Amino acid sequence: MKLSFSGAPEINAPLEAVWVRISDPHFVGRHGPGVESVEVIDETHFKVITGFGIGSIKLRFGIDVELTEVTPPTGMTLKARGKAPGSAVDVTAALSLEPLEGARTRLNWTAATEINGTVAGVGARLMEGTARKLTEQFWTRFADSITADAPANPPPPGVAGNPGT
Amino acid sequence: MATLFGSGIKRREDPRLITGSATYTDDVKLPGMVYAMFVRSPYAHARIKSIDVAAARKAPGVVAVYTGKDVKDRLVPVPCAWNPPGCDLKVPPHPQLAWDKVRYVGDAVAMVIAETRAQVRDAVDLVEVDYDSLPATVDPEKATQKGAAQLHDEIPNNIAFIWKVAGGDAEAAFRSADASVKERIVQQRLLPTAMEPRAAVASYNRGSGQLTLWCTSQNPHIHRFLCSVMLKLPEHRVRVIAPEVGGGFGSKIPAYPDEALVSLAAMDLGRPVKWTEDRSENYKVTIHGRDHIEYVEMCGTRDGKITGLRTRVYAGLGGYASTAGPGIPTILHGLIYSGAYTIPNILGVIHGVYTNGTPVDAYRGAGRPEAAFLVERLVDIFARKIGMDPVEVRRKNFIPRDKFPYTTVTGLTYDSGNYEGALDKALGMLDYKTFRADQVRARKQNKYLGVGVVSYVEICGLGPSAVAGAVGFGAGLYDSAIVRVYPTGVVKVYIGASPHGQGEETTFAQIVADEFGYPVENVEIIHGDTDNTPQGWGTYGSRSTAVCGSAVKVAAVKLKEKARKLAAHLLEANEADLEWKDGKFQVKGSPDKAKGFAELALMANVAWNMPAGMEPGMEASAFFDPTNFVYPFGTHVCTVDVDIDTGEVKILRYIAVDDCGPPINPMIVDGQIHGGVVQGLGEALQEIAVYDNEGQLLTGTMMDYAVPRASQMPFLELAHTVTPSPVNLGVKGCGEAGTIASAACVVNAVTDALSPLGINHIDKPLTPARVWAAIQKAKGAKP
Repeated sequence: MKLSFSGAPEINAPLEAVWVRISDPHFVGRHGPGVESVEVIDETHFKVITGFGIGSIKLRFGIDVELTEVTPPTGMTLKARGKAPGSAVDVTAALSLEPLEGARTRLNWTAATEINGTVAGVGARLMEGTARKLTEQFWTRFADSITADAPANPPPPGVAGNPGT
Repeated sequence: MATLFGSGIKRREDPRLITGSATYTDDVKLPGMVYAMFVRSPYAHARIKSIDVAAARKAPGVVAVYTGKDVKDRLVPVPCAWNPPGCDLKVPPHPQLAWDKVRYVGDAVAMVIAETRAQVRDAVDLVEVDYDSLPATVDPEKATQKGAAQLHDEIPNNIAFIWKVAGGDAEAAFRSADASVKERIVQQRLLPTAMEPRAAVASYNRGSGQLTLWCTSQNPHIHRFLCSVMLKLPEHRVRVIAPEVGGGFGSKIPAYPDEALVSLAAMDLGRPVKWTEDRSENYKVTIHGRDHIEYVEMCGTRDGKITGLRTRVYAGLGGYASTAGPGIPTILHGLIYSGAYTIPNILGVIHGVYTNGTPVDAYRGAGRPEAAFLVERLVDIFARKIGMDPVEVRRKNFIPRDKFPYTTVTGLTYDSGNYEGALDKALGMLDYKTFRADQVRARKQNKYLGVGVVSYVEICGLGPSAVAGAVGFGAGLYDSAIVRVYPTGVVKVYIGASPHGQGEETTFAQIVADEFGYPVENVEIIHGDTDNTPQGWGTYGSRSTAVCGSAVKVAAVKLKEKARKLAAHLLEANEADLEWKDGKFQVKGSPDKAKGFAELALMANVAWNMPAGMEPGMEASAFFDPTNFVYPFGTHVCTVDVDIDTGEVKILRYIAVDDCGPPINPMIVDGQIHGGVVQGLGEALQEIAVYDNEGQLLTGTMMDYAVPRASQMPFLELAHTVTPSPVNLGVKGCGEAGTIASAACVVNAVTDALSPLGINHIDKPLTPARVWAAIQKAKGAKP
């Protein structure tokens, strides 16, 4: 099954600071749902181990991430292929950063996900909701975390909470 | 003496089934047994780049891991055994383990074997498969179109065959007709959902070279045959045992990859190997049913005479051709397009299409429900078009009672029938006229009541072996029995059929007990073991009682004749002076000079005093090959109340009048009708196997695939008419009748209820969402 998501959360940090964070696989990985480890293979290839549940099924995915196009400091595209027993997930995603007034940054992102196997067959009814929730959680935590790292720009109330849709 | 034929005695198989003392395949435990599990594709369509089994091999308890490359030269690919003539069927190789490409979610790519179930479950997760995913195609019509993904390189446009059925001149009939109607009908994919999933246990004796395979089979002799082919083993070295089998509905007819693979592993390892399917696996890899997209048309005169029927059908076969797959939407579907009617001009063009789905094969009714559905839907739509009561259109076109045997333009010869009799009885039970009046009153109160009528006829009692050969079925269709009488007179009957819920241990015993003047307790029916049962072809197609039951009868009659001769000899009487009375042969007028069957069986078995030339023993076998199919029929009527605001369908009454000839055990017949109707109601109202566009099966559990619950079902009002078949026992088979009639019956009722809105058709299943959407669309289209 195919699912597409996108969002444009605003982050209370300057573009360059966001770029540094977003280019750091360990930092990104820390905010992914259920991420257990991030292994950097080279500048554009990472291996992520993550575990999470959809309905009654618990899955542990090994995900190979490849940065397919990197244009510092404003954008990148990536491909990820995750495998779990009886299931597979393929993701293509694009990010672009946009500077905003007041040393803030908008992070525009889109992700197309293809979900295959048991996780699609058993979790279909719950899939869209769960995938959306996990995606939103990821960006919320990511944005919050960068904001917290940039004390020079304390977040105005309520701003960082916009994870997009 | 009262006969047992016609008596609704309780099923003799039930005590062991309901007390847990039955032995199913998964109950078989053998010393040294190891467990198999399969690594299955999560992709509907993908190239296999690499398979890494190193980690799985090293996992605790693992004794073997196989990939497609390990087995492809050792096994003959899974055979397709039905090649309908004249349609240029293309059968791609179906490897037991995919090695280059996977073609549906669940296609197996590796088999892991370990000491325990838990260990094998852990180890399959360690097999690393790298795939290159490919675009998938799941819709059997779209799969034939330009740009669709191609499953098999050698089969352009995924078209396995184009099969035609033609009689009369349909084109001319449509050109000259007063009125014609057409519809697009989707007969959704269904999941057979037998209560017991499939399983196999293989054991190989290296000393004797004998393979024993316990498996969930409706036809162990067919499995023996096909396993010997796949494994390249002499057939007499293969013994297939179908122990207790918990339902099949067609899904346990085919040969599957797994049975051959566990057998191969058992031979390699010298240890018994067991595999048991779980439910999600069952939904992914055990065959599915139906999956038709149909463009259908009917034409006729303004006064209701049907003159033509035309179809163009796209039948999904799934990723590979299953054992009987190509025969279902052709021979078992198109040939019965005439239904219960004298339709003079018929043309059907059936496309068999490979899609990225689980292979499709026989599911309860197998091709005939799809035919009855489209014919019975068209009769209603046509009746509405010409402004006639659908009941009157049926009456006007029925094959008249005095025209049997009747040959349809498609070439079938119906054995016997009284279609009007069943219709009258069903309408009488409802009080059709009163309901129509109630319906008019209810509509004034914005209540939408509807009545659906279906008059079906089906091809059953499969069938004459010469016809099986002529229509490309790779097997015979006779059946067989050995009746063995022990010295104490009790009887074991070994049969070629393989019942798995149909109750033949009861009905067949009734036949034999009647013949020998016995209580039913004296007779046991043995089935399911190819080493002790005679060659037969299994249980499906409502064939067991009509065909195998006849063989049982013929064998029993042979012994009765032997007993008569022996009685005459022992009583020193003329055979002509004996009569069979009160369960004994007695000299006419001298009731004290009599011999019962048990006594005669003892005398034959000890053979102290035999007539000259008579062999000792009391055993006979019979092979019965029917001269024709049998054609059960009936009329089902149901009434519904459709909630116009929510789309919810409530069945008010469900009346089934079936004619399967004289019932041997009326209670078992009713049970078969009950189960069949319920399965059809599931199809009509709630069951659908859903693939998304990428070929992911979204209905992969019983949470998502809506098998009917008892509480959802209406009370079923059953009745029968009795029109014997002219062949041996006169019985016609009733296993599929309920399913064949009920799906169309409900859809006819709902569309009848919604006819004021101009709704002619809604595709099954009629979930509230679908009915509601159709209502909204119809309302929106109104000025």
